[in-house]
Amino acid sequence: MKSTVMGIFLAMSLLVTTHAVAHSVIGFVYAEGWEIEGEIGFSDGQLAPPGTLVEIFGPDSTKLGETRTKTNGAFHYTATSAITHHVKANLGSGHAIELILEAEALPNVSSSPNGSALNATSITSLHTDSVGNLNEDQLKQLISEAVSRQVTPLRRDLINYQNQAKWHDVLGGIGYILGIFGLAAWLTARKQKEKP
Amino acid sequence: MHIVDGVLSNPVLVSSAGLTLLGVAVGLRKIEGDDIPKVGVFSATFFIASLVHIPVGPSSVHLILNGLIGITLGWAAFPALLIALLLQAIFFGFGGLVVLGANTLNIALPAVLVYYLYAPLLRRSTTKLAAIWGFAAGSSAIALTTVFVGFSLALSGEEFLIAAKLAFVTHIPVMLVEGFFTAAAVFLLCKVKPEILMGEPHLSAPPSAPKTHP
Repeated sequence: MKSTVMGIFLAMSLLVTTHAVAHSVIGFVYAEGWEIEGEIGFSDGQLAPPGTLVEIFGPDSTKLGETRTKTNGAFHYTATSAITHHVKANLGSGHAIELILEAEALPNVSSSPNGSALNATSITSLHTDSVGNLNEDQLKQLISEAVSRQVTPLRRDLINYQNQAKWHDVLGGIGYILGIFGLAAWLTARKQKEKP
Repeated sequence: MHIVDGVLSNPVLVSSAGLTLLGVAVGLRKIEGDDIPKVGVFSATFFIASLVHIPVGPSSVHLILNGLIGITLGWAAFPALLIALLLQAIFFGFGGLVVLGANTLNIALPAVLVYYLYAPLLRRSTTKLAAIWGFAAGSSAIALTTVFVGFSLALSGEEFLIAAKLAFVTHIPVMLVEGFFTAAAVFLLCKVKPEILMGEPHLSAPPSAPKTHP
């Protein structure tokens, strides 16, 4: 009997794939030139399911556009103006997240996305050219891309680290609970003492 | 189970906060002086339970334990869970402060319902039967919570059936894990400290049995 129950239990646990049980949604967003990139997932390491709707809002809550996550929980959106972008995603079952990309992260207002000096193909062709021909804008973009490539994994690690439950938080929480109920017990005990 | 800020609509937030306040008021009136440590211990248990992740398939589930808290605390589940959820929101970022009322309602109201359903049965059961009722209490509390979560989401615009079904299906492993855990806890409590579970001396135990009064 016991083994049958355990067997059913195990079989069901294997069958049910779940994403809604993880409790907090985490993510980050950054800009690479005019391209806004980001990643959304759950605090237990699971990534947002592919095709999750990601909506982008301006600072005044007007909707700028939307995109969907790819296989690795990543999304990408091309900004059209250097304003603060609010990125919202709802992963269902009460799991939602809002990420904010400050306007400063985007290029200066003077250069528009269409006038941006480089696109991906020209970068690759530049590698074969002599580097000396790069103008200042092109150099800036190459540097910012290289830096963001290095920084992205660090950013991810930092967010994961921040979201880990720490022992001192756990102990602090228990301490608060015992403190609150200890106070309540003391107050009622005092009240009962005064009564007779 | 923890709904985060920004998902529920304002009417849902306000009304569930109101109902939670009512529940907390009833709970506080029901707590007798001697019960306070018990309520505190179960509040702390709930606070920790969410950190205990049990790997299930490719993901992991965490315990909620509102069934156990319901059958042991009754209405006192409201204040106990409110405090634990508040601290979880502050320390771990589970849920949020604005949705605290809704989360408390969704977790504590099933606890109270389970109390009314199973506490009378538990009180006149043998230890083994009590463990089975414990399993039922643990898993049905989760089932009720998923329905309530689905309901909150539905009132805020998500389609009820989809939201509730998703919450229910994804929580089937949690229901089983909670059922087993609650059964084990009830079994242990019946053996070593039945008065915690019963609110009154355990009827199946011999009244003068020395081991029930350690």
